[in-house]
Amino acid sequence: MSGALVLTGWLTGVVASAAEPRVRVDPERSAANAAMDRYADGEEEAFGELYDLLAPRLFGFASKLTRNPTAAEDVVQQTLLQMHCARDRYRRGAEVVPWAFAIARRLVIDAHRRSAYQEVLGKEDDAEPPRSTDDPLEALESKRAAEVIARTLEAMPEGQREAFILVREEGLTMAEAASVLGSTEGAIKVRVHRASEALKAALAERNRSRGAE
Amino acid sequence: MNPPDSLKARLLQTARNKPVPSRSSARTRLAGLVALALAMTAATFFVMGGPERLGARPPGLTAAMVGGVLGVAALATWLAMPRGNSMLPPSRRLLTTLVVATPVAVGLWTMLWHLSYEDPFQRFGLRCFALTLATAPWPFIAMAYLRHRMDPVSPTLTGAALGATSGAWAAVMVTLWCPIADPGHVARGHALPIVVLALAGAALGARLFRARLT
Repeated sequence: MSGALVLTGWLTGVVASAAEPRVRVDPERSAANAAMDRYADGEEEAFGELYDLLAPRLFGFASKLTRNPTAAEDVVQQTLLQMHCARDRYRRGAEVVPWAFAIARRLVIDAHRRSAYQEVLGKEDDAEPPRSTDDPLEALESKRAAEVIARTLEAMPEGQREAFILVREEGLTMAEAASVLGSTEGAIKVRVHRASEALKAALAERNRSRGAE
Repeated sequence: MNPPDSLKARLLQTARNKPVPSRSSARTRLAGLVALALAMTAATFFVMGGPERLGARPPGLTAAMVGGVLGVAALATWLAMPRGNSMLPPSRRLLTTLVVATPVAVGLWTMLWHLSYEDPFQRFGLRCFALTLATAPWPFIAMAYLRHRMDPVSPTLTGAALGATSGAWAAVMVTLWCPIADPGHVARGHALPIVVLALAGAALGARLFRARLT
């Protein structure tokens, strides 16, 4: 009986995953898809446009995973070069953003495995400067909050951190994040929920300790 | 958060130094590879005396058996490739199911006809096994061209799925060539090589399909 249930669950998952992934409507993403399409059709200038649309997002993503701007820069360059090399086989109208994030993630993992960035991984995070504000107290507070978030993200299991960044910060749908991470939509939902709960708890703890001071 | 301004210039220069043809040339190349796969499969069939063997089984049954295996191969190809508007591979669950189900489906479909007619002779299955292994690389090359260094998520599973799928395409020719539906023969000569091809595809997958640092 339980075997039949497991098989039914497995097959339901297979049928669900055979369906096309849902896509979030976003003008920037549509522009990136169009630029890649034109580049695949032979319009050389479109690659620069694609860079402008993707590089900042990829750099942010890679910086959060590598904690190192130089390594992140390398990942951005390699990701876009991979896309350049695959331009002849790019499928018309395909979604560029999840593909780009999946390549970037793979390159980060490879780089970690090669220990290319081991030296810098241990260093303090110098990736993102705090947002500027006129009020120095507010600036200090937001910097401390950002530090708490960064520390909490860093302490999370890698899968949770990646799922949270892709869904909450980069705006991918659960289905797209599942494709990028090679996981199921249900697992991604759980990871994002846990990551959100951990961040909420960390920020609440920080607020409590501030109140006690 | 932005990368340094110099990166764009460097990247565009690198891309210019390493030109890649546009999509239209890939279509031509793929069409050439598919034609080559078909030609090699047909040549193998004729060299192995395929036409003489066609009369060993009722033509209607031959058509039904080959049609079923053809359906399995076409479905496996559709499932193994990215679909819709995604450039990413299908889910690991789907690919795993595909790897397991393809040899089972080809084997069961062929065995299903075992009682419909009398096998003209008995064979262990070694020639069918070897023929499947010899034919499968051609469809594999055509499919591998489409996915070469394009899979950043599950290259090993993609390799296994494409191995099993190419085995299913080879099984179409082998089913046309071999009139035997005896379960033992089918398991050894028709289904087992697909398992072997899936394992070989998995072994090659990380090398062939993975997006990696250059």
